[in-house]
Amino acid sequence: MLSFQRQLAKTAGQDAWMAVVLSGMIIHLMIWMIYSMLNKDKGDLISIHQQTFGKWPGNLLSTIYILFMLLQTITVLRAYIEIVQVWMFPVLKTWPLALVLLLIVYYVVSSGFRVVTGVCFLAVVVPSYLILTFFVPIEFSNFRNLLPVFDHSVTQMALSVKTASLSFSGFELLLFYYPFIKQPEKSQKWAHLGNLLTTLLYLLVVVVTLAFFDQEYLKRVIWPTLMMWKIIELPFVERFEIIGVTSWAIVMMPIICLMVWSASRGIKKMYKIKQRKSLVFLLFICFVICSLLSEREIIQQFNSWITNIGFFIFLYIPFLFVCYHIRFKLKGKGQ
Amino acid sequence: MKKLKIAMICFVIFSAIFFGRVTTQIVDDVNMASAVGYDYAGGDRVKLTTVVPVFKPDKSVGNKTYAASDELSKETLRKLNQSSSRKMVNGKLEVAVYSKELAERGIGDIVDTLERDPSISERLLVAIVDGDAEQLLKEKYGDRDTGVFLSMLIDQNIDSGLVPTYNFHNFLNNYYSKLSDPFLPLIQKNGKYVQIKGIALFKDGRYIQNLKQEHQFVFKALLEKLKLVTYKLKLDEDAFVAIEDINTRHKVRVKKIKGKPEVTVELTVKGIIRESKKIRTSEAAVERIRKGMEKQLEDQADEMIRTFQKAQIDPLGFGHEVRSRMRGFDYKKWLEQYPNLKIKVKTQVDILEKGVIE
Repeated sequence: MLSFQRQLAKTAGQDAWMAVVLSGMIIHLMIWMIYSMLNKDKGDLISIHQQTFGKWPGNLLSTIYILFMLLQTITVLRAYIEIVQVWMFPVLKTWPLALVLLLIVYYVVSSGFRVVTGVCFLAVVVPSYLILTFFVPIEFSNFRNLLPVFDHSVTQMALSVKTASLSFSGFELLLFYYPFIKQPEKSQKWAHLGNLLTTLLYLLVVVVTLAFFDQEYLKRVIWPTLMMWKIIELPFVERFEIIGVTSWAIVMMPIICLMVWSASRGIKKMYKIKQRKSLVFLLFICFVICSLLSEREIIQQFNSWITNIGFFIFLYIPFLFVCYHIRFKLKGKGQ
Repeated sequence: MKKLKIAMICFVIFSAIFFGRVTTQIVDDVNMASAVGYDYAGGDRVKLTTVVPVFKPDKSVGNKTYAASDELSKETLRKLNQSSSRKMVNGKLEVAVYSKELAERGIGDIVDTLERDPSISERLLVAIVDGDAEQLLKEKYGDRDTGVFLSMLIDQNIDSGLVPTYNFHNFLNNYYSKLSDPFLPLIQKNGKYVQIKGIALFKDGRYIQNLKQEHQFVFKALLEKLKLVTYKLKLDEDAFVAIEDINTRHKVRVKKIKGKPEVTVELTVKGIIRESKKIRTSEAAVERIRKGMEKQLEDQADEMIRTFQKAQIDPLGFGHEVRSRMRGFDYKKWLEQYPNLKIKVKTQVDILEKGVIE
């Protein structure tokens, strides 16, 4: 969210906003696929895997998925700490901040799913004032930058859609917390509405970014959103981005909580290990890897690996969808 | 088990407090530079001057400058700290000025330090000094320190004068753009005063020439909507009219003729006659003033655009206008075409009122 515009604009230029709309639609389709699997199965990813591929291969796939989720958690956490280090406290060490943040994650996740959802809710409501900050740069924007529309080839658009869809990741965690929803069949409407809201928010940010920056300048800026906050001037605070970065702690907290919760829940279901025990183990791995990623170049490398793997997950969901339904049909005939 | 847990949490909090500390910077104990000036100091070296406001007990604000030179701007900051009792920080920087001599050698590399530093505002005002930046910053002008004074001076001229709305962000946008070139306000120290002298034009980050004084009005009018400015119209040898409270609007149209773009700018100007010298303001005369102003504006715009084309610079961003209206825009071809491009400015002047007398 703080830097996705740059990658988008690199491939699709002024048409980057269309990539956001297109990937929003793709995510709608995926949410529909996930629900169609879950509504039949009434379980979660682990039981779907077991149903589709058999017990051991299914568990292996689930384990790989959980490992990937763990890596994703590390990227989110490390990316945030990096921003704090670059924009606020250059001499701050990585591990104390990681330790404190993971302590909060432990507190939230160990209290159960109900608290996790509470944190997610707060993380949407509390920092929602940040939406207003995206209207300030409009004063210095030139909306001519968005023209001409449809001036990029299909391959450029496809590449851009690929990067854009990754910033939507998080919806696939539905595969883990579905059984915890009261009347899960009815929740589909809200999942789609939530996705629509996310798409609109991203669209606003991308459109303002494209109008605010010249294409060539945008390619140089690492965190366009923070750069846009730099233009905001308040009478009582000279540097608004410090408020923004601090608020961001609330935004990224539920992402980590939800992923860690899903991972520990999956481990519990597959290997019958107590959730709290696996939680401590997972957080410890997060902490160690996070502290080891020290330089920008290494973090960047790590990020790009995770994004590339993340793309496979996006291809994997339709694949699983097809496999699951074929399996379901075959089973029906067998009986 | 419970005791262990409490001990663990205490350990985490303790270690976070102990190892996660960063050095504090208390507002009263740091020197917050309000302006920075760059001068050419021979070779690769740049002389940096910073202005620090000194708040005196009688509520007046003094002005203190520090200067040092080095190849790197951050290294000069370290050198400045050697002669300062408090640490110098740049989070409240309002103005950065570059000397003309330095700007002629290119300021692209020097801007890097301001761009890379997260504590610099995007609203920072940048200007070129005709003369020595250190001399300009050393003097105290108004009742405030020089940094705040300069930022107020430039801001005032952006709001109601002929300096286009232009901050660090706009500068960087134009500097990195393939299509447009940056410009900066040019200021000059004049004895005990500072004045805005005009606009300095850049090509590839190098200062090349000034905008002619009489072109400033059209220049700003072609960039943005003008509000409440004054325009001097010369009708005959010694007949002058002052048009005030001018509101302008412009619209760019691009036509493609034989594969070559043609740009037409329609400029609408609305104003009120406030002063006239040696000319009556009868109905026929107002019509004459209107026609005269249209012609004068068009001539000025044509002349100005021709000088831009000759110098191959595009501070008005015609390139962007054309690009946004053309599919498959070719940068190289555009840069080749630009010097010979047909760019026409059509003006439409409306005289709304002529004051309280006939």
